[in-house]
Amino acid sequence: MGLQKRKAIYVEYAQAVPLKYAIDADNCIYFQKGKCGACKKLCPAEAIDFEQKEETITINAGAIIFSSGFNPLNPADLDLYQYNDRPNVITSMEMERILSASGPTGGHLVRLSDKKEPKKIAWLQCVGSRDMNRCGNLYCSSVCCMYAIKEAVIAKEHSEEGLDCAIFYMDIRTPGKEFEKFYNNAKEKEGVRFIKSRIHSIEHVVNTDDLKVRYLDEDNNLQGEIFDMIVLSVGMETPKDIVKLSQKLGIELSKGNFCKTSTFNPLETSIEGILVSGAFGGPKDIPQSVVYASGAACAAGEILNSARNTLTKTVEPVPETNVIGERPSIGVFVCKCGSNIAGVVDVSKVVEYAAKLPFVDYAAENIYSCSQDNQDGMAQLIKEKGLNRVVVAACTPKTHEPLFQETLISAGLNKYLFEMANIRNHNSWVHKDSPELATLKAMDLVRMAVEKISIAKPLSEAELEVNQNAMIIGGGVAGISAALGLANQGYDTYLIEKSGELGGEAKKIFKSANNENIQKELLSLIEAAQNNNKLHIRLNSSIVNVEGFVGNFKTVIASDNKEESIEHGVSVIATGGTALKPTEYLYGEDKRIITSLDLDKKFINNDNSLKGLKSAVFIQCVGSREPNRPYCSGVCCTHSITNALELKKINPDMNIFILYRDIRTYGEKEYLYHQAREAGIIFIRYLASDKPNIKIENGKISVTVQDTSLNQYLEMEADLVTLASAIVANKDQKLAKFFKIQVNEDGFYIEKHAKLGPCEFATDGVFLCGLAHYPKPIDESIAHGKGAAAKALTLLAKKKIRTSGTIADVEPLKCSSCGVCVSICPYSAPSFIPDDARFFAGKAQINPVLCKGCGLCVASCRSGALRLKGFDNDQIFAQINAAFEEAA
Amino acid sequence: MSKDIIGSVVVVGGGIAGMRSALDLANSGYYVYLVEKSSSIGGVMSQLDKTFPTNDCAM
Amino acid sequence: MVEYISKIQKISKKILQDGKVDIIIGFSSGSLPMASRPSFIKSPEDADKLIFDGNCGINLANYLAGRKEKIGIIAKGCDSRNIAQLIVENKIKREQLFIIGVPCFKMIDKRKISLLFEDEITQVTEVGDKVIVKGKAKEKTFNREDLLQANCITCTHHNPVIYDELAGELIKEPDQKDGYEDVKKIEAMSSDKRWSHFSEMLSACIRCYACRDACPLCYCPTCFVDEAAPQWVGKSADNQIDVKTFHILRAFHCAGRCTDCGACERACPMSIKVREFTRKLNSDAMRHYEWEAGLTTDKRPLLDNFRVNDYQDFIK
Repeated sequence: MGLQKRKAIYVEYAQAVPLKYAIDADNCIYFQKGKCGACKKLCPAEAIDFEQKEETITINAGAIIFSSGFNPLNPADLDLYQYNDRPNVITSMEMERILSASGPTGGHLVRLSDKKEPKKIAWLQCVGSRDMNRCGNLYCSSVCCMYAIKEAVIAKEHSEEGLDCAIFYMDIRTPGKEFEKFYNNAKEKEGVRFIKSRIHSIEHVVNTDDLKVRYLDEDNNLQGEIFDMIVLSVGMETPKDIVKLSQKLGIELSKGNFCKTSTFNPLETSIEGILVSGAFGGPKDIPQSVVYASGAACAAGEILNSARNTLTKTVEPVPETNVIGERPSIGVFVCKCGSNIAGVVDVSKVVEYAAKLPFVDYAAENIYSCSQDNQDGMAQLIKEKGLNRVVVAACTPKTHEPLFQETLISAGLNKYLFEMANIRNHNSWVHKDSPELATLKAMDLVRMAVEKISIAKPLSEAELEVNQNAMIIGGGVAGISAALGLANQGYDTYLIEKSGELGGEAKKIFKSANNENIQKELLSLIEAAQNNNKLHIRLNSSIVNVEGFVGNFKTVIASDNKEESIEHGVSVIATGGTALKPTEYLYGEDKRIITSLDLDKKFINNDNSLKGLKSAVFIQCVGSREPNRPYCSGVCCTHSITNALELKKINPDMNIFILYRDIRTYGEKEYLYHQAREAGIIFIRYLASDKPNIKIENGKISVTVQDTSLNQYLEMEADLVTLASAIVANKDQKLAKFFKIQVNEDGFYIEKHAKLGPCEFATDGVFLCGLAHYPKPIDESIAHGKGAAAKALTLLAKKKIRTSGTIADVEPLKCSSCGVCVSICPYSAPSFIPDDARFFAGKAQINPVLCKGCGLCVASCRSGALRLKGFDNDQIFAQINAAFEEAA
Repeated sequence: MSKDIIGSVVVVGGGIAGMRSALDLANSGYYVYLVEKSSSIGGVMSQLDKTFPTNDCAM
Repeated sequence: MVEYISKIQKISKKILQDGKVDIIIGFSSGSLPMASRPSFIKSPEDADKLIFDGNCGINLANYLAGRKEKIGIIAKGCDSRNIAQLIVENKIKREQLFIIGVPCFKMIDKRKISLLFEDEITQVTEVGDKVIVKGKAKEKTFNREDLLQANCITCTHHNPVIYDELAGELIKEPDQKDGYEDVKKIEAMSSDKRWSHFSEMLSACIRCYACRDACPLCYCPTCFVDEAAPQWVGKSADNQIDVKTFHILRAFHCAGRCTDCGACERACPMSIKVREFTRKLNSDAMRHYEWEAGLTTDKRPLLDNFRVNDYQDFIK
């Protein structure tokens, strides 16, 4: 990245897949001057081939997904920032590398000029975004506010002597899930300074490596502040070659050179059969990219359904070696995790120690145990040395256990004969100041793991059939899209809607950010659903009861007083959200004070009253970003601007004011903001601490607001006041209980993983999309619906699933039938053996499919009748006893 | 028409989005070609440090 | 009291005759004064043996767990709460039971009498709020109030909470809730002081498990103290850590379930105030969750409830 020289032969990064060296032809002496070839002579595997040439391969495929991504903008051409001249001006991507443990500074926060730890760092936002004059990118790159805040918070953590972090911004845009809380926390608890400003220039401070940021503050006064280091929050750009390729293929691009899509087809390019996901479709953060990626997979599947399973092959499973009765033979692999562990712990000492422990027949160290070649090596060693148990001392099993377990399986070992010792998160990260003690602790942790695994037994996993029907709960755009995604791929899909019609909240919206007529598009979506014979719509229906679990749900629904029981393998929760009914700004007291959706209704009905308006005021953040609802509703800025422009169409002379806190027209919606300002719409920023005030006197509405840039109160008359009210979740505790899913403090469902699992729940077989997850516009809801369908489909396509081996188990002779386990389990796994059973009637039993292995029942069983396989009492005792032995 | 349909998909780009699409398609019964310009997959996310909000290592 | 006894006998005889129950669990006179003993009456004729007086402090619910026949049972306030508790915990079914409720006039602590009356006791008679104690050489009259079992003094549930028929009129419960003054006193101690207080108290324990055996909550097929693999706790009374482990763990097993019936303390041959542990947990259950065990058969005990989104911000 330019922070450090890369050798002419390189691997991209330590955990790269595939982990193969490549030659950088631009820097190779042989390629540049025609001689050298030292590498060819030295390579023992004779892997160097200078003759390797580019080959052209022709692939015939049914569909193409373009997820060609973005390039971080190169600020070299923007003289203002002095990126080329000053080593202490870096990009945010370079900052990520500096903060990263595998980066060039090994995770030490230092500035590049003198390798000293900085005391003050400034982040400059919107470098190469929202900037028509300097770089021509008018769009907002969406992700930079959030990553700058994250970097500032992490930099503060890294810093040993206290660090001052300042973020220079125009609007802080944190509309993502839980983002606003993170922003508030950074501001209020972490002490990150946020300075609303426009950057004037950067000056080098003479005789130092420091830099002075000169900026115009909110009152348009020129200010200056000196920093040790400046981070440029660079935006996203579509790579030039992709722009060229798109033009060649005829893929239509947007103004900002992203792939052009429409609100109701957010995953399709202008060419049939070519789909788009990720940042090529517009700036996106990780979870959004994941949503669109799964969505594109679903869209591709819908096209290719008739050819499904025609080209795929299945992998032959490696037969499992029977190790029961064998003497334990343990292999210990100690990971350096680059410098993450090795920077603190003396890894070779730990290896030496591990080799002497009982039953350990092999011990070795790896730089990155999780890398592909080390995985292959481990499998090889298991087979060669006849190892029957493996300990990896590295990071956390939470992220890496499945990977190592796969390696065991590939070597024919039961995957439960594996144990991880977390010598990174629990050790090197927290004891970095006491390396000797950390090394001793690493030895303790390894010894404990060895003791535990030496008495481990192989565990088996049960197999069960997956019912091939799907159920979608909620018939808004997200639900319909999910239902169509599954029905179009041949699965019988039940779409349950509580109201009398499909369409949900979209029914109330007039136009999209792309100026499309929502009602027209929505109608064709609904018709597609109604005309699909695999899609079974149930209107006026509610969920009465849900039984079962992943692959085998049995749901009872009530429609018009009659009950129906539906069996299905997967469930998608698309229960949506709704607009908050405001309780402030005199809402409900005057018919000229309305919400955004009320205004949409007027547009949809072509309401004549709009024609006579002379002035209109929009108030943003009504019920959002408040102490009791501390999230951003994401869509309201765009919605108000769209509606304001609509009003301007009716009467170009209308005075329109938008009173806002931050304008959050992320991505290419920024064009609308630009367009609105050009159209003469006036934007006035107010502070949450001094909200606008509405008065009605003599039948006239007047709005008073303190303009933060003029520092004075303005009073404006309004013929219409539109309140951009928050989106609130349709919180449903009963449904949450039925499906054993969780709701966050704001009433939205909690997805499996904030970054990587936005379409699914932690509960297997239950998926999530639309507003039930978090506020989002229609295009994102549709992509989310398709994404949830894709994830559900991967489960349906398996036809059979395996349960976990680490589950609870009852010893019936000890069971007292008291029912604590039955009562306490959040997953309904324990039940009583029926009274008419021949054996152990009334005692507890565990359904292995439902059990998540959380151990709650084991801990609460007074009678000691429950145990957790893989965490047996004797194993835990062995571990505890080992903890109190002394490391040699 | 339907008999001409080929049950494979080309995914252009091996970043987080490309990998996700490829995996979901492969797990649903389609043959996938994942095309990446550089010598390994992972994209920009592999260069990131920790991610919000879990502070998990981006790797 | 006499009315109680005749009513108990009458009801018992009838339900045995009608075949409503196979057995009556009640009290009959002991061979020594103040030693009324639990009795199992199977025939209507034997119903006349049933008695009830201030020496019936043993918790009869203790004899119910796991029984299969139809049972008539005499239940004071605390017994009835433990019966409710056992129904919730699947140890007995409500349909199996005919509960003869006895509004409780508080039980006598025979140890208190022994301490106050130095002679060998030959006869104890309760007359209203007086207790007349006769010995070989002397006779003394006490105020009943001064002889009560400790748990009966703070009791706020004298009336049975579930019953099929009453053997007497319901009585007025005290206005004041249990203030747990005894618990507060111990809580106010410094941790060192508290530790030495408990250490001293438990040093008398001979590990006879009478407290456990008298407790209607202790019905596990294998008690944790008896387990060998894993051995959670050492078996001898010599190791004071093991002794403490036993008492504290046992108390935790009773958390949210204990009705403070006093059976454990009554059974202890070494006069250890084991209720100090269970009372602390009862007081916490009351303070934090307004929970008292055994008042209903529709709710699981306090600590049997967990939801994934339970408040757990304290785990950091």
